[in-house]
Amino acid sequence: MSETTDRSLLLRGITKSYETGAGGSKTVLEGIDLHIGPGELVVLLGANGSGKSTTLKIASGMIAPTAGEVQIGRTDITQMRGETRRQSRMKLGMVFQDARLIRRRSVLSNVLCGTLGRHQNIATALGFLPQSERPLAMACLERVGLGALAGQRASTLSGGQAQRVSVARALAQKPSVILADEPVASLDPESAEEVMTLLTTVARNERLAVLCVLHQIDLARRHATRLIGLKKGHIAFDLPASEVTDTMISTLYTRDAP
Amino acid sequence: MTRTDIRPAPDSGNIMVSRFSSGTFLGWGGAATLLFILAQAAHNTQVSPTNLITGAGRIVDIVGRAVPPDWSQLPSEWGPTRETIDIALIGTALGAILACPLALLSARTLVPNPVIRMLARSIVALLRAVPDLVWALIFVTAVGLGPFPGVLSLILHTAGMLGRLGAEMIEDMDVMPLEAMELAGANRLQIFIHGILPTLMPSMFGLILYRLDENLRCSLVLGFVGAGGLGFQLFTAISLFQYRTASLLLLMILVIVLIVETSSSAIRKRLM
Repeated sequence: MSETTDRSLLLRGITKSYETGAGGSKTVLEGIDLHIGPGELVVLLGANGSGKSTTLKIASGMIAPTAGEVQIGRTDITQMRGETRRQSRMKLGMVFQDARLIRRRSVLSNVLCGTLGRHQNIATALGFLPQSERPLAMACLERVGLGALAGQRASTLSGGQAQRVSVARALAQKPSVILADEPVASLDPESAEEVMTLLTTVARNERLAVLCVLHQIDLARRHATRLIGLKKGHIAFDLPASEVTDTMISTLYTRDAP
Repeated sequence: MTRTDIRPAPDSGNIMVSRFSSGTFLGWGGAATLLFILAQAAHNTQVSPTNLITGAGRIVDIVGRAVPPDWSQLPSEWGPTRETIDIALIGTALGAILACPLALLSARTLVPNPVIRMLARSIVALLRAVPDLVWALIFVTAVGLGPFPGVLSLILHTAGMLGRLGAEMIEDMDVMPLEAMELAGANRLQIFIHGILPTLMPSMFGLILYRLDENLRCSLVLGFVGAGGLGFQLFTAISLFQYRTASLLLLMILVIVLIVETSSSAIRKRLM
């Protein structure tokens, strides 16, 4: 396991249960331990309902775990509230299934929106985007290969381009960790390959920890440094991509006999 | 090539007949009910083709006395024309400003507190429910004749209409990009300024232009109850049997309405 640095993500003993009414509860995640070091792109695999999205939501702070802790670098973000929680969120860049851009704004403005967390001042409250971050935003756009489209309205982009802009927006946050929730689910194979290559490059070159939920096994095998298989809320395997066999993967998707 | 047997199943004929019968019965029953409702409405509102035919002569007589329009009155009607346009402009602008907080406070996606939301929605409902003509009558009584009561009534009615439509627009907007901004560390004010406003403004501006279009027509009618402008001039001309002046005013109204309608629709198309 890699050492804990500022650019790493650690989930320790994560359990998540939901109340089902009449005093009952359903556990969707139990005792999840995982660590992603800088430069690693780790893919979470598993059937629907295995707990992949819940893991990602807990890692991002969107939902709180019933037990366990989430650490970005050496900071435990699980118990954080208010301003400190908002500050800690900035260390997490999110890439969603859909790009979630402000469609009526330009590509550059969308990337600059990723820097707003660092600029809580009157100028941004009055509608001005932080101009001091323009070089960084342009550099992020160049990094995803879309510098030429900076002035274009976001609504005119293709699905693949929009997703690359959302990666640029995440990079503009200067994150320690990137969480990607099915980032290629709505893309054609060519665009999917482009986005995954981009995430791999970002993880390697920027030395970021990237945790990605994917359903495309072949893409996961090609791009991940490690694969984590989830089944019924437990980790079934956590191995380098080259060591994961087809049988291991197929057991994730087969239903157990009742 | 195989042949497809398209004969109906042995008992399908009976099913068809019974469905046809019940459908026909419902259709005729519905038509008869609708006819009855319309007939009683016509009776209550004293719709009478005989009266229309008898009155047609008088309408032709009035039209005859209204042409040609009295062009000599044209210079003296510029003032009321400008007043009508100004009533619509200022009424729409101030109404839109008042509508903004009402729309924001009425939207479920922005205001989780049900008490505040219900209060804002009640105000919006009241402003919309009372017709602008009634508001004008109230304000004419309160502040006297002239354009000001017309402006006040348009402000309130516009605030009600835009408040409701704006709230619906906010509730219908895609919140996912806003969630992404929040997760990136933006605070609530930044999300509103940089996420919600840019998304809503073009549509909201389109709505305001549409309202301006409507308000121009409303401001003409408001003149009939003493709220100034061309409407007041038209009411006076008809009351004094000055039909040639009335026809001139109607022509002017037509031209203004067409100009505002065409330009607002062109701007709205560019915005969307």
